[in-house]
Amino acid sequence: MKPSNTTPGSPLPSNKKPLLQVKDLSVKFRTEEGMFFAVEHISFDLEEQKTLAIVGESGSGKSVTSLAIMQLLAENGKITSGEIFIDDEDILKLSQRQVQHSILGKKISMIFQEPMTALNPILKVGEQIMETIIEHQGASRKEAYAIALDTLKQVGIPSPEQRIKQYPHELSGGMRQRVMIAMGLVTKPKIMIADEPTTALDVTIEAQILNLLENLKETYKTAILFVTHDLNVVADIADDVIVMYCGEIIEKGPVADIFETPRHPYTIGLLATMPSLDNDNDILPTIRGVVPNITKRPTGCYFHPRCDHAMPQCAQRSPAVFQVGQQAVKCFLYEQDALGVQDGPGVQDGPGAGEVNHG
Amino acid sequence: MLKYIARRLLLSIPVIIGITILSFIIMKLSPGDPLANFINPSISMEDLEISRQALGLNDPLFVQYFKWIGQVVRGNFGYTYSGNHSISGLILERLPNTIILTLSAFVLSFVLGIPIGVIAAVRKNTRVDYGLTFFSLVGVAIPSFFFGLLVIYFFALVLGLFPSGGMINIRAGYTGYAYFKDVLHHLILPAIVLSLGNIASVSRFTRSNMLDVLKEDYIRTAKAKGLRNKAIVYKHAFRNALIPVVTIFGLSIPFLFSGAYITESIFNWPGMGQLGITAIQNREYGIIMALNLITATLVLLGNLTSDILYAIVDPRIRH
Repeated sequence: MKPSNTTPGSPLPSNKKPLLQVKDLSVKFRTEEGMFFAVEHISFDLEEQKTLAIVGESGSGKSVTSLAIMQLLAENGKITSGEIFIDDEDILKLSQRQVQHSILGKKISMIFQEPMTALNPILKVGEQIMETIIEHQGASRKEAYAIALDTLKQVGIPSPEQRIKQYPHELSGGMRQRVMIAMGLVTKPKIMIADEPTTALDVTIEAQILNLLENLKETYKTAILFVTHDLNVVADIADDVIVMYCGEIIEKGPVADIFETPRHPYTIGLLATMPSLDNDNDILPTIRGVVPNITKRPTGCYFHPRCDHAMPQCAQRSPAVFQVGQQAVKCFLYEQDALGVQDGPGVQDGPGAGEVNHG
Repeated sequence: MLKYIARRLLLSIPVIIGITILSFIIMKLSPGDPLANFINPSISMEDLEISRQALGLNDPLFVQYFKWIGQVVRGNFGYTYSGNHSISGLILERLPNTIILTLSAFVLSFVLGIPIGVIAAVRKNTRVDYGLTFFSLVGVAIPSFFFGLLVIYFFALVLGLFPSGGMINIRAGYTGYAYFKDVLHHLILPAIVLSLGNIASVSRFTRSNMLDVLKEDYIRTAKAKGLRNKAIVYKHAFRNALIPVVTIFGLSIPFLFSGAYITESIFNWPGMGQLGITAIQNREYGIIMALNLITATLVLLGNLTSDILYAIVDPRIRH
């Protein structure tokens, strides 16, 4: 499970200016039982040409985070605090019209999980691609048509002259997702959010789409925020990883470090659940318990009821974020470690222990 | 597409035949006697029996049916028992008037109903929405005979803006454009009364469809593309929400057509409704069956129109 596309130990805080900066973002949802945090105090940076993966189980807040950036939260969701900077501009301070006019579809675009329902069934795919160009670049229909056709070619759609005149239902799932990607690319935005773009596709198509994204990232110098629950995909495509649990970032770092030396007990557990070829176990390990409902989160560290290393303080207060090497970990096990006293016991006992090698 | 329409039309033929049989049987089973109107003490039972025999009312049912249907396929609906008027003539005389009224109500229901529904959906849970919802509920709930009387009272009697009934000002003897204006003047109140219920249901239907569509993933995609609200609502949501509304396009034709019976009676509009009500009171079987047949044909045509429109607006069905 070692990712090979990144060098371990590459510096995380680089000198490049981040394209997208999320600072202390919190989102609350209104439910019948009251207001609850869907995500809390999320902060991360995304740099040019980098792929940042957000990993987590269902309900971890990874999709809410991406929808909050796009300001596409459902009616009962509300950003309660935080800042989202795109090109040094806090987009949360802009009006809805300004966001539509100068941010969405122009500087940042989004690819959704289900390409069947995410495309309008009664508009030809060409029209759906062209309208973004016309809206944001003031192009004529003729110019827009040429750009759309060119983009369809770029995303590897065969005979684009025919496809451009077709409706979404006439295309296969993989083709539809390529159309989605073409739609997101067509204005050459600097940032692309991909929310589980391959989950609805079968494995061979998934590989093609991931390759396509990788190539397009190189060509267009796009930064990609990749939301997924699939660790294999993360290992494949990401430069940096954010692990979310119950709406919080519990671990953050370069992909190589996270996969080689996961620090947070949850991350360790999550990686252990990945099936691998050199593992003879018939039974896949699981993390005991389930993700608590948004309305019934435990006190202290949200993970402590499921954690093998829980200490008394875990139930009382929420741990701070500790920096361990390139990784940032939200766990009391590293309180001492961060001061340079000792290694976290979680790493030694955890399933990932065999690969642990601290310098 | 043409093939599809042709196939649908062919399929309608057995349905129409079925309708003729049913309406014929129902007519024969219903109580009452067309000759009851002529009964007076000077006519003997024997004479009645002779007229009954002459009118063919004593023939076996299937003979009567084939006599009737044989005439109908030649475009002849027979003659009235009293006065021996041509039924086709009576209908043709009044059909255009009913079509004018029904068509105006049809146009009104969609021209007003659809925008009202869209506005209510876009302004969901605001005062505008609540106001329009209230209007719709009143529109559906109020019976047209009552609403008709209210309208006549206020707009014709109190305010004197419109005539209280009829289709033309007979004494004025208008021609040309003045005639058209006069008919329009007479048309406004009955058309509003006839369309009110339909406006209300079309707007409710449009509203709920719009709300459903606005929750769809592709609306989120449209928003993510940074499109203007106008483009999101009208280009992406509205066109999709219109697909189911098209279904009630066709279905409301027979609804309005039969609703015209009552409205025509209230406003003294010289249409088929008046003819039908008189026919039912006098057991003029020929007229009633002719009207049944016309209404049933309209239902069939309405359904067909819906399906064709459906295929036009939804590319998924076209193939």
